[in-house]
Amino acid sequence: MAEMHVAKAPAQKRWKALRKRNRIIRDFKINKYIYIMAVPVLLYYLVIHYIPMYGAVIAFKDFSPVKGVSGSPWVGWKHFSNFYDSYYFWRLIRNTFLINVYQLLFAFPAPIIFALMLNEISRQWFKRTVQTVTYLPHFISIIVVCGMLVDFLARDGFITHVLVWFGLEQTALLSKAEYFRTIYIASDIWQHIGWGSIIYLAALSGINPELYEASKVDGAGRFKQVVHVTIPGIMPMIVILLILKIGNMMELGYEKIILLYNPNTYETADVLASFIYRRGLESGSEYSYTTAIGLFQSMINFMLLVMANYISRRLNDTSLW
Amino acid sequence: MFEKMKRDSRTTVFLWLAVLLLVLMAACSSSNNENSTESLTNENERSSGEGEPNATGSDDPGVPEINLTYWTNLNNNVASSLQSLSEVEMYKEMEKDTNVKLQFQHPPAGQANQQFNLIMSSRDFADVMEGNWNQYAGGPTKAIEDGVLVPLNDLIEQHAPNFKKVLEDYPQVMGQISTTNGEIYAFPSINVGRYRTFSGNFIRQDWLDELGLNMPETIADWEQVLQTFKEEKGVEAPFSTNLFFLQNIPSFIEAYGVTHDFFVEDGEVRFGPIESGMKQALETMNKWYVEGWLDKDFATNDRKAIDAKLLNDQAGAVPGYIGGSMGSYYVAKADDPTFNLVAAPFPVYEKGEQPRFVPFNFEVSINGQAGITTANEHPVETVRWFDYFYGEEGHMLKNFGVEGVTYEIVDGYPTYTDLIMNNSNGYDIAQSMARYFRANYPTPGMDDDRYLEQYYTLPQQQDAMSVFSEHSDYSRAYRLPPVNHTVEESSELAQIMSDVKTYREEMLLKFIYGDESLDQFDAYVEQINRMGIGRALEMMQTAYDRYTSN
Amino acid sequence: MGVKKTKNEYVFDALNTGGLVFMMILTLYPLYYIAVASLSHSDALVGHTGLLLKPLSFNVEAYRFVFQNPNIASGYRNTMLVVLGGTFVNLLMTSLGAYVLSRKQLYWKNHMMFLIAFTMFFSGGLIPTYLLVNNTLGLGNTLTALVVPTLISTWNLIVMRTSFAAIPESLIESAKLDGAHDFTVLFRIVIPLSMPVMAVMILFYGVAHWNAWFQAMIYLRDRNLYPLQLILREILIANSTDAMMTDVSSQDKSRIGESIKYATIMVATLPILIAYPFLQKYFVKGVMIGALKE
Repeated sequence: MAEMHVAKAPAQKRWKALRKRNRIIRDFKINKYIYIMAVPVLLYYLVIHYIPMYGAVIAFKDFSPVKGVSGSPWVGWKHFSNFYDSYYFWRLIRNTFLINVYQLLFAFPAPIIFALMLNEISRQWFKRTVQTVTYLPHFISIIVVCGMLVDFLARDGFITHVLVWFGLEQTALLSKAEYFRTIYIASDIWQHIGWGSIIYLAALSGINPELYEASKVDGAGRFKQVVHVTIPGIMPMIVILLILKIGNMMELGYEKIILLYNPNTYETADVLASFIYRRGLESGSEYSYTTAIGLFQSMINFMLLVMANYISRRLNDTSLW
Repeated sequence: MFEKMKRDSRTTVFLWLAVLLLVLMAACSSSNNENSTESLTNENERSSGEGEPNATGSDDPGVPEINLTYWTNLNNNVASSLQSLSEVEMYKEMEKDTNVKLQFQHPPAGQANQQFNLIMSSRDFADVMEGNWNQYAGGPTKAIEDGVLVPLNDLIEQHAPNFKKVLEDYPQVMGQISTTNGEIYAFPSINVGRYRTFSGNFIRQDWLDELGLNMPETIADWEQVLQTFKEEKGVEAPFSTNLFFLQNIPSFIEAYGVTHDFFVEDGEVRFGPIESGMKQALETMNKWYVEGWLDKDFATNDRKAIDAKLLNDQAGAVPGYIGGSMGSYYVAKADDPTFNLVAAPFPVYEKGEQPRFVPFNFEVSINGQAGITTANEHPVETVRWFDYFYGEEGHMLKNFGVEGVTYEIVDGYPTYTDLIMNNSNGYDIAQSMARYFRANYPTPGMDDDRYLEQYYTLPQQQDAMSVFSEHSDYSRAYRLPPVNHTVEESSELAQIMSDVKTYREEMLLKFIYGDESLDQFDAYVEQINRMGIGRALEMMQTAYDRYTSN
Repeated sequence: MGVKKTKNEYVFDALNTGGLVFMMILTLYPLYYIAVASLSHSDALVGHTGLLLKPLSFNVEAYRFVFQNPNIASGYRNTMLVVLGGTFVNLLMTSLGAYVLSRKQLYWKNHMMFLIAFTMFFSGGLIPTYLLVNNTLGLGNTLTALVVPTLISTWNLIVMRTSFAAIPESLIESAKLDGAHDFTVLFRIVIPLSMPVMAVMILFYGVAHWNAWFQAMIYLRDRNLYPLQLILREILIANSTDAMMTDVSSQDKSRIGESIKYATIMVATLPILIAYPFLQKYFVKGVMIGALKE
């Protein structure tokens, strides 16, 4: 293929191609050991990540284990259009989208605000204690966190009990669809707020102290300093993390959802990933159908990422690529 | 964090090359994991040519050891003190007496379906797989057609005299364990005894007496009783239940002549959730929910929650099992002499009616069906191994364990020893049984009435047996028997029903909560119709007709 | 900030400090509740609603039960195996990858980077991955299946690469002039100079292995291979309907069940909570390295 290309090209282009080839060969010679090192790593990615991507063609087939991936008959876009026509289509999109939006609105800024609060503390011992304590929940397994939630949010659980003081009706909170998102997001914040703030604290420590001095000279109070110096200082970090977050929007931590939801809360809790899990493994074995939904989800993810990156590049010159 | 990446044409070319490479790699690798159905026929031929070594009692070292993998769900009671069925005494005995060595595989609790589906998708079968074969996408018929299961007819004919005799003695068994083509797909758990009803609703007799109430029979009676419980005893959840029990142990909805699923009326298959009786039932349930007569938490209760409510006097009536629920309540309440929980007859709408739906086990249990897969290289030995349990010795081993250890023959009656009934290590009866044999959950073999007679030790439990099973003959006409579908039917059926069931489950809850007004019932029925329930009913009818004509 | 504070600043500080103290309480109380409940008597616990400040009729019965459960012991063993073995290969593979990607003069570097980063957003899905691991690689029902599919976390790889890239090129060049090839450079120079980031990686990978359950759930069929989290799932998340389908249940389960649950959580979480303060200083440093040198 390359040969043909070269033959057609004018002399100048051929010269360029030759130089390029030389460069590649030289590169291989110099970096021989580095490329040897790369082999296991690339092999891992190819085998574990890319081969299953090939397996995803079953989304366009009627996969039957008897016939295998390659032997199953092609059905084109059937599963995609079935999904689109499904009674659950819009609900799944809505739930996936909403949980993510709420996460962006609440769970994303929480560590930032927390980091800003910590940054204002001048007593080091206190700051360190707060940090040690709030990082802790990050290390508790999702199983345990969900087990705790199920227990504490039951009708006679202690969280329910506390909320009843504030006028909430006494009920099993996890059986109410209207509370599911709140519970999901709030427990997320509880678990990760401290951990998520580390990265911002790091960025905060990198802000030039002279900037504060300058703004103090200008007569800015503490709050104004935060707004005019601190926040702009960590903005690039915020933007990068935001883009990454948006890129992963459709990919929710479904482990937590399948551990917490029940038929009562499907209305608000059932997302694409949990639906895939349920229909693909738990109650059915609709392999092709659910793989199609998974593919659809990846597509949306990718589009969102590209979009977010584009917007961010336009707005403030920060981007992933 | 990411470096700037120039997305020039080289990247694209490289990417496409990589993809191409992968496609090639994957194509090569996927071809070698496809088991073909031909192995099945080969095995049959091979095995029938072999001699007839004694399957049981061959300590002869000359007989080569046969290793089999055996996949099944691990019952809770076993799991509470053992890690695998191989530690159960009954299997240790079998291992001693035969040259068959079993290696058990168990999915995590509650994950049996998921793991079963994954195993099927990867065709990485264990030699024996025990469970509910109706779960196979396409049903047992398809499982044989796909080369998952080996049809057992010929093997049984030649190597399973005990099981053959069972089939001859109880002809109704055949229809329940064979496919639409008449192929036997599994060794089943069979119960042909007198006791075939194990669950129902229980009520606090001591409270009824205290409040001067009669045992409730009709919906109106129950309404009064539950209301009085709520008002006089101040209980939080007069009738406590959960989703599983609501759908599986008949109570109030069934009093309106409908179930949560398919049932039969005058030879016609119907789908309960769209019948008009369901609308009336939901009206009542909604009222009870709002009034607080029905446990407000029923949708999230697990079984432990119900237990806790009953034991803490927060519930006056609960559904459950004669052994596992009632028995355990009496153990827990041992220090409360006034506690008197009894079986309540299944509710009816009007006095004098007979309950249409009584939980009544068909001869063959849907669980505990052991199929031999095409991965099994020793089908003959496996068949002989299973056949042993349908014979006299194996029957005793399965239901009573080892003579002199777990039971003694007293006046010709196998009586459990204290090892089972009063275990000194603190295991309860169900747990101790589970440590030694498999009498108390579906297992390939025959159940024994004498086990239940000893398991249900209390007079209240004995009464419950007769109260619950009083109308079981009448109800039989309304129950949908374990029908089988053809391959085409069952895949279409599965697709329709997985949509319908999720929707049904959610909507029924909304109606009961009052989140959705019952004026919407027609719209709900309309939606289920759109999902294709008509077609599903048609297929169920065909299957039912096929079953009855047998 | 030696300047005297205004009244407003005092209010600001007080509110801020108060808020953080409140957050600490919110974080700690649930954990404290579990500790206290695990030491209570189940009967007392069932009857109790609301907050707990000290154990109700103190006893350690629940812990006895937890340690008696054969699954807990084997779960611990398996989890430790996966955590130790898995983390080691994770570190090895990730440092190889990070070293390659941190070399500046590499011709194919950007292509490799793209190939790797792409997997963060696209995956083949559950069934194809299962077929690969179980059938093609033949790892079904082995502990290896819990390690191989997650040999490298792309996110960790990027963090480590950033850290490696910060090591002065001159150090590496002079080592090479002395005749060292890249393996020597990596293991003798780069890794020893990157101890904080290595510590973070140990923590990240270790915790991920400790907490993993989904892969174990789908790949394992042998109960004595189950990791701890899978056993925990059985005990804590009570949605197992098969327990309801047969006429048997354990008669004393419902009685001590409540405190057993909490005792199990304690047993399964304590090791991590104890190890964590010792590691904390490393990971804070490490995350900062990853973040700052962006």
